Amino acid sequence: MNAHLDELELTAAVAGLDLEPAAAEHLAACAACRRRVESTASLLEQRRLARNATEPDWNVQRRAILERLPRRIGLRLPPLLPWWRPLLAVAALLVLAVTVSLVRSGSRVPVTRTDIPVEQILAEVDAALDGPAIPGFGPLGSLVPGLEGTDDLEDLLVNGAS
Amino acid sequence: MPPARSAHAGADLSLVDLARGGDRAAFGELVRLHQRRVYTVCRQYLGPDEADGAAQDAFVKAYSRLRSFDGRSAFTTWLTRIAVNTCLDRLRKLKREGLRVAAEEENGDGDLLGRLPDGAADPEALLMQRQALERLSRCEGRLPAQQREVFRLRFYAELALEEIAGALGVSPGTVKTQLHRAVHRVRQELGDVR
Repeated sequence: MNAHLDELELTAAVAGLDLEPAAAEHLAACAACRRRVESTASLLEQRRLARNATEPDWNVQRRAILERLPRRIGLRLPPLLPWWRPLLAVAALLVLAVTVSLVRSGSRVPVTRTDIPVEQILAEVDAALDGPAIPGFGPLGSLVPGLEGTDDLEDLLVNGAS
Repeated sequence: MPPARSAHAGADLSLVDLARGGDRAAFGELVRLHQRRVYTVCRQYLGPDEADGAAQDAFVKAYSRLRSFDGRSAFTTWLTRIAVNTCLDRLRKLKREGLRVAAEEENGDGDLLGRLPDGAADPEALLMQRQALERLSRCEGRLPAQQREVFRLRFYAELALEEIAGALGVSPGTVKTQLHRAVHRVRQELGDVR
């Protein structure tokens, strides 16, 4: 591989990621590519040194940790339920209870009262049916000219007027 | 796993067994072996003022939860994860209380730059170096949160990719992607991309 590394390969080299064998081989042999990788890498190293320049006293830290340790190692307890979970469960139960009671009350046959005089109306209807012909409900023959006295009413209804 | 790390892991497990049985000296030895790493991780999240307290908290939590360590991951990964979670809890608490976080304040802060190793004898070279570090610091501050987290754990806490993945609870592939993006962005802003 004679071509220099491209930006993706240079980035991978700086990040310490795997390179294709050919790219790794080129990097090992090419001073220009190595310089480009090292310029970023050395800057990162300087920043690491600066960031980590201050350290605590390790002995003091270790003593502080050991003093803070609980007397016994406890079994790990399951995490507590969040405070709102029991409330949510109670609310859900309440909603369920209200819904069930509403459904039950809605399914009953309603007892209705009426002030309509049903008996009287039925008696009037019976009387009207027993009496003379109701206007508008007379024999069809009397309404259609030319059909008076004929028996062909059934034919007329089935086949229509000819 | 390299032999040295594997040997460390074996020693860790023996010490964990002893500590579970109530051997506080064994836990003290675990602290001695890992306190620098835990502190350095906390330092990346919280800055120097809070990092010591957070590191102590992380060890105390780890001790309290030793029985829940099942050995599926390395002790150091398990411990680092506790440290990261401790830091995130502290950050949330600090933000709730409206306090400023030193680690975030640090971006572009002259105090940090004052602690630069004085390797460059030439004043002009030193000035350029400082300017480059200021740009790096500002650029880091502009990275998306997860990229910044991965970037700092990789370069400043010097964790391996698998360790970062274990500590953050993400896949190594995600760590690689985030790290690649972060480095590319940093290189672009530093003008290293030509």
